[in-house]
Amino acid sequence: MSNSAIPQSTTKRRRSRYVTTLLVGVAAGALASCDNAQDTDVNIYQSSEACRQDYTPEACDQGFAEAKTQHAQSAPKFATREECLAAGFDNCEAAPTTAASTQSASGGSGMFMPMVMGYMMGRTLGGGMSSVGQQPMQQPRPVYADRSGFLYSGDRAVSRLAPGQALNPNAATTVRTRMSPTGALAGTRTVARSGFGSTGRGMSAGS
Amino acid sequence: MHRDVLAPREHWQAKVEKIGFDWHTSLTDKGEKLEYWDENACWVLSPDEVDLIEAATNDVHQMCLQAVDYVVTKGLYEAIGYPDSVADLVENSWRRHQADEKPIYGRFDFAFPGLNDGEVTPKLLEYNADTPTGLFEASVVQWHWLQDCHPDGDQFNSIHEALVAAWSDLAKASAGPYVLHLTSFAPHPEDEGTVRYMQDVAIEAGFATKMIAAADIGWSSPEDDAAGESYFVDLAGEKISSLYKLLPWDWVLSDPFGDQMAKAVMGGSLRVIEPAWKLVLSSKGILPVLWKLFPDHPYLLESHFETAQFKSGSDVFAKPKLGREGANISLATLGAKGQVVGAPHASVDGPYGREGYIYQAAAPMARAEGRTLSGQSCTHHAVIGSWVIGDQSCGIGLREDTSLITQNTSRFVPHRMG
Repeated sequence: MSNSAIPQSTTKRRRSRYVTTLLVGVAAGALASCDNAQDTDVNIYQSSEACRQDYTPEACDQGFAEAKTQHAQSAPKFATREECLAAGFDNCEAAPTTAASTQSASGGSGMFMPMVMGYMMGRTLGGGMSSVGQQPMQQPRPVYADRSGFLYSGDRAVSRLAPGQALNPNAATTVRTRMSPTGALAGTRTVARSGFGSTGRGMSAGS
Repeated sequence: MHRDVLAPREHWQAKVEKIGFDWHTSLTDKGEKLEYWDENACWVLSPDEVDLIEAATNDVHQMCLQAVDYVVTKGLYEAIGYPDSVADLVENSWRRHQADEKPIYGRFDFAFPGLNDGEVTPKLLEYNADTPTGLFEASVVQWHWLQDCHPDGDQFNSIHEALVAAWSDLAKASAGPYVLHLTSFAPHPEDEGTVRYMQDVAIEAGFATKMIAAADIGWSSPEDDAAGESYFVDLAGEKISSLYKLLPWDWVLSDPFGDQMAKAVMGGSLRVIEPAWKLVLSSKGILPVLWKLFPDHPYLLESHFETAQFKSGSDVFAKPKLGREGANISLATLGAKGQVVGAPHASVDGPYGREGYIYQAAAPMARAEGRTLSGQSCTHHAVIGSWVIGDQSCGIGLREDTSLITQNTSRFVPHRMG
């Protein structure tokens, strides 16, 4: 019997291992009405202690324990620590045993994965008025980072740290998952529009 | 390679809409429904056939890069349908094609009847290098179809993974701010759908993104001319420094803002994806250039700028240099001096062709006897759209038509390996 936990791929697979789409602007015609609604700021907490600045200790402990399990299940796995490091991650750790792979004598799965760096949560709406511990907490998502500052959760990139940005170990660090307009520009400027799209109108641009 | 007739998934429309595919059915001019996504059948390819398509795609991609170099070096812009005024932009972009003007994607269309038809090779019909579509259908929709219908099956399709990797490379190679604007015509469900998918992929690769309709892009200049630079802006006034455009370069350059865009790219303040050197490859004039550089190459079809160069009795397609989606293409038999003998075997109307035509020998395609959706017997002809992402072949999507000419009404049919 072959081991079912690790795919025994002898023939070359030609298909994508995963295809996930975020479906960002689902409605057709969304192009015409771009506004600030696409901004998404999220908070990353490095520890349950940092989380307790904003939420109850019970919610933080429970949420982080679940996120840690999720990380062990969803983070990419490498056969050796060297392979994990070579993939661009500075910190790698042994992947824990899961229900699906219990064969390793050492108690671990024998695989390596990037170390979890923090836990990400969407910022609560409203803000300001609610005191600590009163906000309902979302399920945190585990986050890990590569050497270039890209942040990942599971098998996908979710954000990127700004150059020089580090995580605050004691409180929330806010990162942006999408673009936010920078607001008014300095100086008086004139803007002309409708300079693109007149050629070929009515025909498909695709080929 | 063969075609299996299948029962479509129950409620397939709802299934594909759930993953964001909202242009699966279109309406004809007469208001009849026309299925664009067609899972009443699938094509089955052997691993050997996939290996052959992959090899052909990688080789033809490299040959195309040599052809760009040839066109740029010789200044052959007018021969392929462009004014000489594009030379500065194309040369500037081409000089940087291995640095910050790398390509993301392109789709080669191959005629390939399969290995059951004898020892044949895929033959390049054309290269959609600048604004290829059918990307989401190939990368995502047929992947989900396989997952539903053949969860243990395989498919020549790692397009999604390759796209994420290509955009990540682009992000990691740049100094930031990793902001990408994406544009197309709007409203246009199919083009917007393709742009939406590209936005998804760019987000996954680490970009902050924003969509903007082509007509909404602004050109911002200081009121006092000496007080600073001019640049493109979005509706919020934010500077556009990287722009993915599902607009053909030749249309963009003909637009009122075309000169500004060319200058911004040459000055290094704006990156446009695909890069401007793809202009050379998006003209069908590249087909006779390839034939001249690589005569009798097994992956190419005989192609010329003049019909007189073909042997008498040849079946030849006429294709407008800058046409799209099968428009203005016709098929005819040529006489001794290149003149058309008798009536054309097939032709499609359209708005293109003022810039001139190229001529290409006809080739056998994948074909299967079958029935149309309304039950009439017919012959299905399939063209293999083979994707190159970065510099690597990584998957295919098949378009099928009862006509010999693939056009915008041709159906997308999924495939699997078997």
